[in-house]
Amino acid sequence: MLTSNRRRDARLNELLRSLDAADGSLTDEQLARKDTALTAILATSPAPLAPRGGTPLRRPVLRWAVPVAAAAGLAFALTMTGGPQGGAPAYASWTPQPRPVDGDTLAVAERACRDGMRDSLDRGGDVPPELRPTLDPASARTVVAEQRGNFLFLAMVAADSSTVQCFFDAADPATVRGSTGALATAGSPTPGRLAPGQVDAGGAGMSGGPEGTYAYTQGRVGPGATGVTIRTEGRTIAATVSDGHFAAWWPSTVDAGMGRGPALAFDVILADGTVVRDARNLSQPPGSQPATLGPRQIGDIARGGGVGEDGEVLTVEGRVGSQVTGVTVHVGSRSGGRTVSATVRAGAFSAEWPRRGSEDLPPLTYDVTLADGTVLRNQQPVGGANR
Amino acid sequence: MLRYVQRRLDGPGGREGAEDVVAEAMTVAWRRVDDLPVDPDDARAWLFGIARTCLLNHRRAAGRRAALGVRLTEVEQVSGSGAPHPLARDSSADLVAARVDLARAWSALTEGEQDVLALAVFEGLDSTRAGRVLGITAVAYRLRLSRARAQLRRRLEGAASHANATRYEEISTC
Repeated sequence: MLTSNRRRDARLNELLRSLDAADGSLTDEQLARKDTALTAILATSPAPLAPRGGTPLRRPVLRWAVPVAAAAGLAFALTMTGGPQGGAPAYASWTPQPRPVDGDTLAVAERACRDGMRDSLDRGGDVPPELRPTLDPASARTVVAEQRGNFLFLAMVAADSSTVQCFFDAADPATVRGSTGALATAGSPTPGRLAPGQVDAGGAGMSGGPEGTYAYTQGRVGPGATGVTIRTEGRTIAATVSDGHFAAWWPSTVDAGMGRGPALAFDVILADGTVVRDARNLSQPPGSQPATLGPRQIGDIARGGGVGEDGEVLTVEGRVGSQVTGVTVHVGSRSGGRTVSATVRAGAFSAEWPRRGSEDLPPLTYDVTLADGTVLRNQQPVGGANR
Repeated sequence: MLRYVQRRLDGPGGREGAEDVVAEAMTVAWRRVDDLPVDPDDARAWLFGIARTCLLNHRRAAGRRAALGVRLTEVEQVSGSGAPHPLARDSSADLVAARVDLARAWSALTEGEQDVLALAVFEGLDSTRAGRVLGITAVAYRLRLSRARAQLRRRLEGAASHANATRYEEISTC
């Protein structure tokens, strides 16, 4: 009986296999979609994002994320992070009040920062002319240098208005430990004039340094300012102000991988002692308040693109509601396009995928996964531009 | 992995849906690449386990139960007139009939029984690895497989006694 059952099972197996509903082999279209999906997946970090040991996980990475509005001439946002590292308490030596950097140390750090720019630009890959940074590292001059605790921060401005920041261990100013910037392109606008009490600063930048994530901001302040105070992440930070420029860095609790930094408020201190609270920031026009999100919603979508180590990429990022644990982005049509799983952390999501041909703004649709495993398909984001 | 998912994803849009699930599963796998087993067969089972979780998420979203049925190709068409089903091309009438019966018996199995059988028959996994996909021990898997096989045989025996009537019905409705 047992043997006859076995024989029968073998025969049934064979018959069942002849009824297999799965495709026998992949069509050309399936193969193309497979390659695209695989490329997109492999272009993402294989997520060992948790700190592991004291050494960087990978070489510093050049990653430019350019807002879609860059087509109209906005600058690149450039992030060259040193990668996550762990172990030590995050910047325990940091102080809300900065200290100046002495001339010899500054000269060494400036040289290292410029070398880092050249190296990163060399690794930028093949960039279309309209997206090509016009930065000349030799033209970069330091506008702010500050030391907080055991770390140095350098903010530089180049002739084309590109801004670049370099981060150092104070004991080793020859080695850049974190490098970031906003690089101008041929279409970048000339910075506008500021009235007294105004600032012009993009959002907070984020990078990974020797003790974890740090945030920074660099900007210009209107005439007559003697100080700028930054309020962010529950801290009140005195920025270093020098000749119409200001900058500061601080240990951040926001995840560096998300591209989007913490919200900032600026108070400007004028020469007569007047404090202009919540100074107007020309880079963030009034009314650009974050959208109110329900727990199952996504919103404040910002799309971009740029050039990474592996070529051109398109990006999307936004915020997620409290119950959202996953976001899947469908690029192009849901049946024939790509599917990209976004990274979701700390109330935000981000995704990037290789740019194909001349596409700039392919239609995107979003599936949202909730904490209980529910998947909400085709969700409409709330707020934000260029959805 | 696409084939694994295709077998377990039904309904409209299943074809594209399968690719979406595979893309999700591969993304998860890439994030957990440090856990990827070195042995290729272990790695297959590991990937199927991830795909299974993604599939279950899909089905939960659609309000379905937390079990994965495994569909077979449509065989009812083989009895009809018109263009022959690919399976019928080189098959004798008996073989076609056997497939129709088998498909019927298969569809009468529970989703869990289909899942257990498919891991052995279609995915070709041994008990240890199939158990790993389902999150159970090899012994528990062998037990479930043996029950599922017995159930399939019983369903087939039931089908055989109604075989003529069944086939007649199919022909008359096509």
